Amino acid sequence: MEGAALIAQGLDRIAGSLERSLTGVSVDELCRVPGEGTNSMAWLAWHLTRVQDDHLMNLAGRPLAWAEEGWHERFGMPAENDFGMGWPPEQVQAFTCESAEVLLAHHRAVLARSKAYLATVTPGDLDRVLDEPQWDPRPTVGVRLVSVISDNTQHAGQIAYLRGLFGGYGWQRS
Amino acid sequence: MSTSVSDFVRQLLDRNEPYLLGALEGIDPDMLHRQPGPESNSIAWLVWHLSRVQDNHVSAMAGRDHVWITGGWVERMGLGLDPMDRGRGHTPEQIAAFRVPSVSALMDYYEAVRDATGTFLDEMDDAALERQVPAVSGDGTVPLAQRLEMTLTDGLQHTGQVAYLRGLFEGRGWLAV
Repeated sequence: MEGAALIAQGLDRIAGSLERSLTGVSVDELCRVPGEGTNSMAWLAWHLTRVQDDHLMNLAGRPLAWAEEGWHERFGMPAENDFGMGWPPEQVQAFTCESAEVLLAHHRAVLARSKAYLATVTPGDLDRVLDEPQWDPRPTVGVRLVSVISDNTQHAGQIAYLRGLFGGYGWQRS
Repeated sequence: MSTSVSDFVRQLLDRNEPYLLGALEGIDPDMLHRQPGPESNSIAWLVWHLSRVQDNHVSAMAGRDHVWITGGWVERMGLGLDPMDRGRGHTPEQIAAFRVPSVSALMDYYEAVRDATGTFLDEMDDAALERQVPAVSGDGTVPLAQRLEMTLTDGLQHTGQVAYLRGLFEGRGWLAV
């Protein structure tokens, strides 16, 4: 097993967690927030998927699924590459989606592109330094992949927690 | 030299830690044990559970006893649970009644597990990933890589939950990492 395979496995775990947490959940519950200034399941799923799309496709040198596959239209948003950083609470709370299935389909589409890229990554590629002078030290491909897994896994955990908070104890066994 | 899998794992755990420790910093016992819903896990339960899960995985991979047991944590934490209990299957009543003696006891246990994990990763090379180790349940075995990946997924997901709860209780902008 190599580093890129560990990352691919991590992405599969994230996708599996989202499928379990989101399948069959109503739009009302998806967009519910448990307190002022907190993120909903819908926003978290959209955001983590956008982070993965942005970070992995930039590494791959490929266009983003968001614009290229027209996902922005499904979310009624512009094609520009916004992934939710720095949104004020009102904007997060106003975020909505068509259905859980659209959130999951968006995620599956991004995951397929991420995995196609990871299959091409060699152990040597992981040490390539990125041309991002705003960071000191400059990140490597490996560091960027670590940050995607970290971000996405944390958010997947938050979605699972919210599902339990709204859906009650034992939801994951039903 | 290319990045080894154990380097990746270490980087992921290192990156995760500021979120966990940040969420515990300055927290009072009330917030530590608060549940946002009647059946939801508190920050205390989540941090205890994620540390116990990591302790259990690392113990199986390294072939050593749990830090929980060898480090005297059963007595120090005084939870009145079976020493091998890691929280899986706890009832809503158990979750609601869960209390740790202090946030520092919880952080100290987490740090003891983290250090044992670091020692294990220092000794591990990528050839070990294929080695068969005991499965989490039952009598079977699984490749070490599988338990390593489970350690990460569980720890990171629960850290995300802990961070979310601190934000829910404390309000936006609580985290500066």
